[in-house]
Amino acid sequence: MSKSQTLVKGAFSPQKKKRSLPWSGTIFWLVIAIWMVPVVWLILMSVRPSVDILSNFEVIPSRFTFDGYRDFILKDMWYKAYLNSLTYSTLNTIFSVTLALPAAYAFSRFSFTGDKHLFFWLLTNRMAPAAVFLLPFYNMYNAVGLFDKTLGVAIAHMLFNVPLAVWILEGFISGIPRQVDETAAIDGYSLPKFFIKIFLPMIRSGIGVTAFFCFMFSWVELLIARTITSTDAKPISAAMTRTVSSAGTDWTLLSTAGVMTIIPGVLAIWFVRKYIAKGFALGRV
Amino acid sequence: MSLIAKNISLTHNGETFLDDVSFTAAPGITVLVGPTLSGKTTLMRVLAGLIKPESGSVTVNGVDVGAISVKDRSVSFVYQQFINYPSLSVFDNIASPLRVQKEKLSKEAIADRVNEVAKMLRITELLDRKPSALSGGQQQRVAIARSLARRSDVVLLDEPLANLDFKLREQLRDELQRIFADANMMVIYSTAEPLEALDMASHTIVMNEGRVEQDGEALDLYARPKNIPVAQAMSDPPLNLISSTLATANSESLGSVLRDKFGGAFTLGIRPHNIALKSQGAQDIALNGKVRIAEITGSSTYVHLDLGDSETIVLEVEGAQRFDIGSAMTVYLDRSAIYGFDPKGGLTLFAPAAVR
Repeated sequence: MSKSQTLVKGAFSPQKKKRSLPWSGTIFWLVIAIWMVPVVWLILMSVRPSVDILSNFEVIPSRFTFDGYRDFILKDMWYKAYLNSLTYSTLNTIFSVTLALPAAYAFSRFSFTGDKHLFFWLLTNRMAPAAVFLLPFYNMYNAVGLFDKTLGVAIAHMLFNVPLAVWILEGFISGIPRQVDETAAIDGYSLPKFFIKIFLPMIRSGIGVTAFFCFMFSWVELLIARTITSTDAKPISAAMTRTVSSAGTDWTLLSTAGVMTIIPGVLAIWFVRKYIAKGFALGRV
Repeated sequence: MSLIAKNISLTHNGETFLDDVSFTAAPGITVLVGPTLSGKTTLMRVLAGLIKPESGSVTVNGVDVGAISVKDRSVSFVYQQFINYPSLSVFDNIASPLRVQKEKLSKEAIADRVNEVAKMLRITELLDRKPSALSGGQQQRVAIARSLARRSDVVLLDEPLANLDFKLREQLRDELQRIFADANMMVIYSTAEPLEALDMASHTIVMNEGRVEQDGEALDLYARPKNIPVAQAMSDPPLNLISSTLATANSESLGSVLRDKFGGAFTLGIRPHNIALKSQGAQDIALNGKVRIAEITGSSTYVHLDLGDSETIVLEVEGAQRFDIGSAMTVYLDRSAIYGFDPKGGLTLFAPAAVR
């Protein structure tokens, strides 16, 4: 028996548990309530007639209408723009994550010429304002026929989503011991087979978090999406800026569009809620 | 069947990891013993094919495996950390090497094989669980089962029990010995614990600073180490080393004995259990010191004795006893258990005739 085992381990230490504050429950709900005011206000606006919104201030609507939602679903401009946004955000998420996975794996596991510089350079792509890339994108896309295509927007958004995805995924991948890769190699797995069968399931929370970020950044991005589209691939955010007509602004419809725009974000968070805390702990953002 | 490592050397960034390592392993367990950073893991990784040595070759059953890629080799590896595939059930973990290997096995054959090794390692009732739901010992059992299921020519166990608690370690070690005793494979088992090597009582290779220091039966290495590193690697608690000049200054009787019998300067080595509190006979050598610490392990007490000149020896006293720190004490070295080492280079000059 080794002697060190008789030494007393784990001496008394003060409780690690955090102190609980009084009134924290009340304060929590108060904070939530304050935060929710704009959102609730938006939802209430979306069910009030436009005239009421402008004329009188009231917290509880006196008249309800679902015209906004009906128009949103039935009017070409609106639901198409909404679908456009959904399409390019989804495409972008798929492309970005697919491309970033092998890249992040390489950054995590191999050393190659310029790896550190390349990793940093990826990040610098996020440092430039999107406006910097507007002109080249506009010009190039016109030349190659990607202008006003959802695919074009999806590819353009990869400019800042791929670096982000690589950055997040690299953190997750580095959290997996290299011995797992080696064990798989020794067991007889080829790299692609190992990657798909063993590795992807291991980092699925990381992939979930990455996909969430890619989707959200693509979804809320306005400048590039609006510049490289005109009518066919117009995003919802662009549609929302073009609501002024001869009859004035339709506030109800605009609020409805706002509510609808929040929904994908809420859904995305709902789906990754289990992973997101775990995700942030493992990876770094 | 055999595994032959020949003249394997590896340096990286000017640091030597392996220095001309050669040995032959027969079917059964070969124990690699040595302190941390002695190159055991590096050697295992070379044997597995995970790293290419700068020079030297690895031959398994007469075939030089140097050019064969890791995934095509008939080898399995168990890490000190419990490495399993967390997304797969225990059953699938054990079955995974069988599913990807070249010669395809039927579903039934795979299930049979998995159940067989699961039974051997007593994890049958855990087969449906995920590795994360298991204790450390169970996780390591799964990893070992996976390495067994494949029936590869070479099984590499890199300190497989180091992260387990003492009781589990002993139990699993006994089981491993039983399992690998009649397995027809070369099992290389590395450990930093001399007692594990002695317990395995098989072919043992002592490594130190990337070299093979000595190669032989565990008990032979314990009784007749070639040099100080081997003696240290095979002794737990560590061998006491005392310079003969200090011994002479400390104890006139020892000085005269040493001069008469062995002549010249050397480093004296003696194991803690060969030092007693009471003289066992006129042949014993007395040493004087002050008690520095006394560690009680239950069945015995280890007393650290300050000899002066910042040299310390440790002696093992039976039973739990109290010793006052700082008190003077005379202890008696069993002369027939003394080792002598060359102070330059550490080669063994003389060893006791019989192990005690």
